[in-house]
Amino acid sequence: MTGKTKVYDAPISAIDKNIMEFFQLTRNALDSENDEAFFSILRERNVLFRLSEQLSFSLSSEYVAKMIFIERKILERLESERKKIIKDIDNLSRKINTVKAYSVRFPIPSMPAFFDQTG
Amino acid sequence: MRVTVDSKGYQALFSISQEPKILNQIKLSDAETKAIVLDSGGPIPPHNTLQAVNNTILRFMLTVGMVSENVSGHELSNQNTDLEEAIAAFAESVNGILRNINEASGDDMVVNKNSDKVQGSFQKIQEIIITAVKTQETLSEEVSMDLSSIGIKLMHDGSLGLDHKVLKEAISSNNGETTRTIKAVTANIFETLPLCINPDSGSLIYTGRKLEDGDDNKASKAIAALNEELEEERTKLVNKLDIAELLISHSTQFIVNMKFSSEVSPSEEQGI
Repeated sequence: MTGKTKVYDAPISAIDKNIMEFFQLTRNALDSENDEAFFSILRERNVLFRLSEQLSFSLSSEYVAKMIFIERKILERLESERKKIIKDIDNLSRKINTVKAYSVRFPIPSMPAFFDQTG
Repeated sequence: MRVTVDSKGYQALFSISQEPKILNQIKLSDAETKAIVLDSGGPIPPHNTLQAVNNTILRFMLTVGMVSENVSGHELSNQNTDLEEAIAAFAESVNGILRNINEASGDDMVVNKNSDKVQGSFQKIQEIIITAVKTQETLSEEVSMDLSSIGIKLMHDGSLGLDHKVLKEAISSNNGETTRTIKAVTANIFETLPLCINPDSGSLIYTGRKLEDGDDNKASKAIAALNEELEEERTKLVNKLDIAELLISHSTQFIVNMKFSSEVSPSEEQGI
């Protein structure tokens, strides 16, 4: 018998409900195919983050380990999305600079950034 | 970039008319050559496909410009053979761009990327070209003929058919009007088709300005609008980046909290 109170086999309380919701949102986020849905679900989940302190005391250490493992997956995907956004911003910034430096002479040249210039 | 022709405007078109298939290949780089057939033999990123379509539109505009200049030159020299070749080259060029857009719209990579917008843009470009060659309403009030009366008709398969016999008759019987008709059609295309597709959003962007537009005002407005659109897109991305960073920080903190309070050992964590 440890000093910790294990409440995971107790009747469903408000905390349990939040925990279940947190799990469900985490799973939905990981299952979401597009980044918009991924972010949206995680933002929704964000309000439940204050649970984290309660969670660790409420769950078995195996379950906590599993949650950390899943959370690392979320973190990996977030990092990858972050890199993608930075790349997109970089491309867009280059395009904006091109537009700013561009002056129209009818009917050509057209916008160079939108043409394949690899040849 | 500027298309150069000789003083009468004949030389460039003469060389084109010897081999009509190269009409869409003015100043081609390797990448542009790929754009003509839109089939590189392997997967092309959607950006490249849309850029290739943009290249095709640009080349079409160059060709239309050359045809227009040649027809203008013809008004002075009155050589019927060259006029017939110029009109045939124009019809061939229209068929070329319509075919390329058809092929691109079936491209799987394009279909997957902003599908609705890209397909809408393709459709709009096709409509602009077809409207320009089909209806007399789009021609100038001074022109009494339309393309069908000079032997160019829209076929059932959506391509242009050229009846050389009708064209020859139109040139010999009403040379001036035939020339003006072609000039009106090419001017109309110049006015409406300087477009390109934004590879990111799939939307159409007007890159030219109207022929009658004497100052740079409209062109500048188009550029300003494009700039604004890009800035908005960048702002959205920056906001998204902020959110991603916030979520990363919360997620990291969550892991720290869980580890700290439950004292999960690394081996236990990795064993899941």
